[in-house]
Amino acid sequence: MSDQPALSSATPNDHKSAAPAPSAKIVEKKAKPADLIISPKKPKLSKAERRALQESQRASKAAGGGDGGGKSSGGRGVGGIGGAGSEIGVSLATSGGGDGLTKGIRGKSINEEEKKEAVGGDERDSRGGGGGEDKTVSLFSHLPRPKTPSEIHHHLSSISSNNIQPNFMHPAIPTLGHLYITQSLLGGNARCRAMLQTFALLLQSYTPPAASRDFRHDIDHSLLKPAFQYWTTQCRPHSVSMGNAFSFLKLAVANLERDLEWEAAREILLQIMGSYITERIEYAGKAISRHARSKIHDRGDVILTFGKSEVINRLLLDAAYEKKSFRVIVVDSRPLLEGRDTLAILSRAGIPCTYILLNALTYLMMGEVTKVFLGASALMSNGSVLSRVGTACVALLANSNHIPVLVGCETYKICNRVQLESITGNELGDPEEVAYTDCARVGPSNRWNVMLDGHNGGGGEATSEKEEKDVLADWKDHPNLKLLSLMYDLTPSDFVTGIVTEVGILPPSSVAVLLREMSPESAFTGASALMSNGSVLSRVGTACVALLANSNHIPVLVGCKTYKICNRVQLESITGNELGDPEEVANTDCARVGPSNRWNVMLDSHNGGGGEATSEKEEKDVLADWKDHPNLKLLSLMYDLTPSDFVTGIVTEVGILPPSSVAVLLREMSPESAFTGTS
Amino acid sequence: MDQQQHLGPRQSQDQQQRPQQQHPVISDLCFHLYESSNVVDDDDAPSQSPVIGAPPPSSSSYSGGKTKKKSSSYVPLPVAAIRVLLDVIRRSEAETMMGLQADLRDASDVMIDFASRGGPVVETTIIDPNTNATITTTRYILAGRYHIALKSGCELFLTHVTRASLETPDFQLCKARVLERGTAFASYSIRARHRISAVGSPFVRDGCAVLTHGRSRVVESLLLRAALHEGKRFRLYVLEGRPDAGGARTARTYADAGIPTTVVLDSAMGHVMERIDMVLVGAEGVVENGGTVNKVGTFALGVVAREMGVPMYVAAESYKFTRLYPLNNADLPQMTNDGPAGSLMFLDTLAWSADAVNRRRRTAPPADDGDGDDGGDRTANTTEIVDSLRPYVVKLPPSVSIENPPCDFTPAKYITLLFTDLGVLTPSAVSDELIRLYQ
Repeated sequence: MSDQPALSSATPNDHKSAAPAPSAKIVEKKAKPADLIISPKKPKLSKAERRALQESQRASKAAGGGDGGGKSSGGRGVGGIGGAGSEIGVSLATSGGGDGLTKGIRGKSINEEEKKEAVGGDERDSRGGGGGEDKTVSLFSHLPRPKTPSEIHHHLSSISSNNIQPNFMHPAIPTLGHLYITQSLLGGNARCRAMLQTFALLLQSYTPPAASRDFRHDIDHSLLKPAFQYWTTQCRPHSVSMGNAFSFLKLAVANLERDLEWEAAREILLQIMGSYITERIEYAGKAISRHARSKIHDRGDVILTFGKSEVINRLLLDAAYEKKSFRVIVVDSRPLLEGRDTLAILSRAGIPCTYILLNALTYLMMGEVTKVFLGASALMSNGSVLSRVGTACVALLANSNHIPVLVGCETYKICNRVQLESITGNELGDPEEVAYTDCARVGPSNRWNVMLDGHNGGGGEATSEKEEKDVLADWKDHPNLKLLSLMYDLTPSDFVTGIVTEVGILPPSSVAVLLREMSPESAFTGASALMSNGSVLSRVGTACVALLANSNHIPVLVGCKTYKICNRVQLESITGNELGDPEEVANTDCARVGPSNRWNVMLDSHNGGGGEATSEKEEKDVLADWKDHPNLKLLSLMYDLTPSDFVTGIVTEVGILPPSSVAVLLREMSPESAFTGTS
Repeated sequence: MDQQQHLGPRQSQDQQQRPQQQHPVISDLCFHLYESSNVVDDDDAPSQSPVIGAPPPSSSSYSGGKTKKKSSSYVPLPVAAIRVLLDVIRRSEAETMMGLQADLRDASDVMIDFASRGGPVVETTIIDPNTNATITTTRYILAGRYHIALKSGCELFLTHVTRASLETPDFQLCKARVLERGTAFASYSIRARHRISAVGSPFVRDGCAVLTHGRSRVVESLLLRAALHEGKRFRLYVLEGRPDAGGARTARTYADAGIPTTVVLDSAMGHVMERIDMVLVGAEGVVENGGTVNKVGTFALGVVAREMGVPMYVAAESYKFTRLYPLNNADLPQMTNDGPAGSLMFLDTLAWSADAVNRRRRTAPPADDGDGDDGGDRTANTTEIVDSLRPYVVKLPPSVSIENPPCDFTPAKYITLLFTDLGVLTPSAVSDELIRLYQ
């Protein structure tokens, strides 16, 4: 408690430097999404002024951070606990519990929490850094930290004064980078297209150095890689679509003929890139629209869509153009509120729309919606869909209401990775965006919060002037508060009825096949035990483990070489098994000393007549003479069959596959694969 | 396709041909449906290639001397359709691949249209060799159901022709190749049934109880193989199969083979399910997401089976794999319900049979078993029965609408395994096959 004033005295500084920046950024984004290269506010400052501002910001931040860090490494243990404890104490009192027992228990748990918090705080402090860094949520600490407003600002200034960059960089690169970083360019297609177009621009102004023998290498190293690295590391992690397009481009460069004239090579590259955009993105979009439109019935379908997706918008527009009568429900969610764009686009085309936020979805799903169309950022090879955060929620709700969910996704977004949850391959958004509760400002809950804050006084800092500001504007100073803003989530394939790609509508389980069919280099070179229905024959006990893991929702991966795939189908462990030596079951070496064993021996000596010569058994294995027992049979099995339901993925040399794809694998590998009659 | 450059001369020709083309194709279809039942009904021997060269009769009736006793047995519709398409190729005067393809597409459109509308196929007169009596049967193609299978067969064939055209630029060579392969394909398709039985019959275990729904040749041949060739002993429950009594009809086949067979009402599927060890059904079409389109009631059967933990197997030939992706039952291709298939009669059969028993007691010694619904077996009795039924028809006011979907869509998750001529597949492997077939 004693530290409180000191802490709060340190914070206003932080406030002034940090709080206006994000809001300015957001305002700027809202105001002019199109041309952001120069922000509306910034040009008024001269370069020197801007530099000065930046310097002062950095300085104040360092001071604040250092100050806070120093304090807490020594005093946070006490101060933090005091603060938290009193806050909870107050809330307990106000909630009017009054029950001594529960209070005691709660008090205990609070103590524990405090300890944890103290430890956590130390960790964070030891990691050092200022206000921003210690706010990473532990589960997501592996993800690259999103750029803070000040960094974006820094970035902005680096665009205008290029001399900050050590070597010359084509202005198109930071320009696009800026679009990425400020998230004014959102959506897998748009980002990918812009990347390719920028590469085209770069190629046009590129001439290979005279010294280099092989321009392919030079393009790769001095043109493609630095730009891509700049975008992904300096600006925003790349999407799967960008990654795929980039590796395609690299491959195209590598496949150029060595002794080609540069001019000719450039033409080829430009043409390849152009056709990539037209075929894989534009044409694919058209084809997807065509396939998915056939699913919009002209009998008053109500289609639900979430956020903004280029493909989905296109197909809805196309369907409206065909004079189909349907209604669209646009679901949106904070913080990006991309659905507003969708709403604008669709309603301009005369489609009757309804706009709701994600939290109102449950009600609508129950009655009106007949189909759900979702966009995707990437498609994992096990059929799960990586998409804007919130998508999984929509899909889950739709699935539980038996409403078909269609995901529109171009095949170039298919990723040969397998992802099982939303944690591994995600992207962190700016937590400020979560904090920035523009619309919450007037809400009743907010007023209540303010009141509460005013009450417990000591818990927060300087609560009185908050009435004019955002509630969460100073969230960074709250010791126990972390904000998490995620960009993506993973929709399990169970929730997806079909995936609409340019090759048609496919079940999610076929993504792996598609991946294989599309990539030329994935020929199958090459299963005790992969049955063609995807069940796994393995050492006895495996099924038990898998079952347990499955019932606890733990992913089960089975490693298996493809030569072990068997073209039999086996449904239980009885048919195709192998008997072990029953003596092995009898030979209970470790059981000799167990209590159950002693009990057995006792039992044996009791019923006397059943067995024979039970007395000398004390020195031997209990089961050593099992063969003489008339009613005793021992069974030792070598294998058991794990049903494919319990297996999340099968890791083979051709990649991780869903168990249902084993049959395909088998067919691809066996040379005499049936159905020669047709092809 | 694009390399076929001369497209000009064909179009006028097409317009001339169109009006007359309607009929030949349909009558061809009918011809093939029946003709082949004689040729290929029992073929352990490699099936004779379907009468090549012999032009199909222009009249719609066909009388054959060597009729089997199962005169109602027919070749699967898709296979018949493929044969029709082969005939179209033979007769086609098209000079280019594009022309040929357009002819084929016309023909298949006519057939699909015909099947999707539903209606009587044809009156077929067959002379029974034993009694020398002429038996006339009229078969109905139910809208929707057959339409899906027929479409898949045609589509597969067309893709296959297109593929052939890509291989060689020489038209005559190409045509010959298409014919040769098409014929092989048609005979392959017939043999598919036997392959499926071989693949699926091990799943029928000794002492189990099997439930089937609808009339499916494949399921019949699979179960008969299990019972007769492999000597398995199992009980069979057959759902009645309203409105065409398909299940009840197959029950006779099974009973003849010595399988203990019980016919139950469709609505009793839940009641009997706890006694069942496996459900085996056929399919009109296997769709891309691994689900099936089959006689109405299959979906309900699947749901019940799933809930009770009974595996549901589907036996279907691979030519029934369709590039169709229904999301749910509402999303199935629209099926028209006019025509004979559409009108449903609601009968109080309970009251009728009670009365019938009384009547029989009063009048005469009963005719052998009284279930005279098998085609024209007891034509004399039919009118009498119809008359006696009339009082028991429930009369509905026009304000009550009647819905009679011929088939329903069973999502993949209710299907345990598919027995196909490509082997035993999981539902998700269907799409993989389709990708391979059509890409």
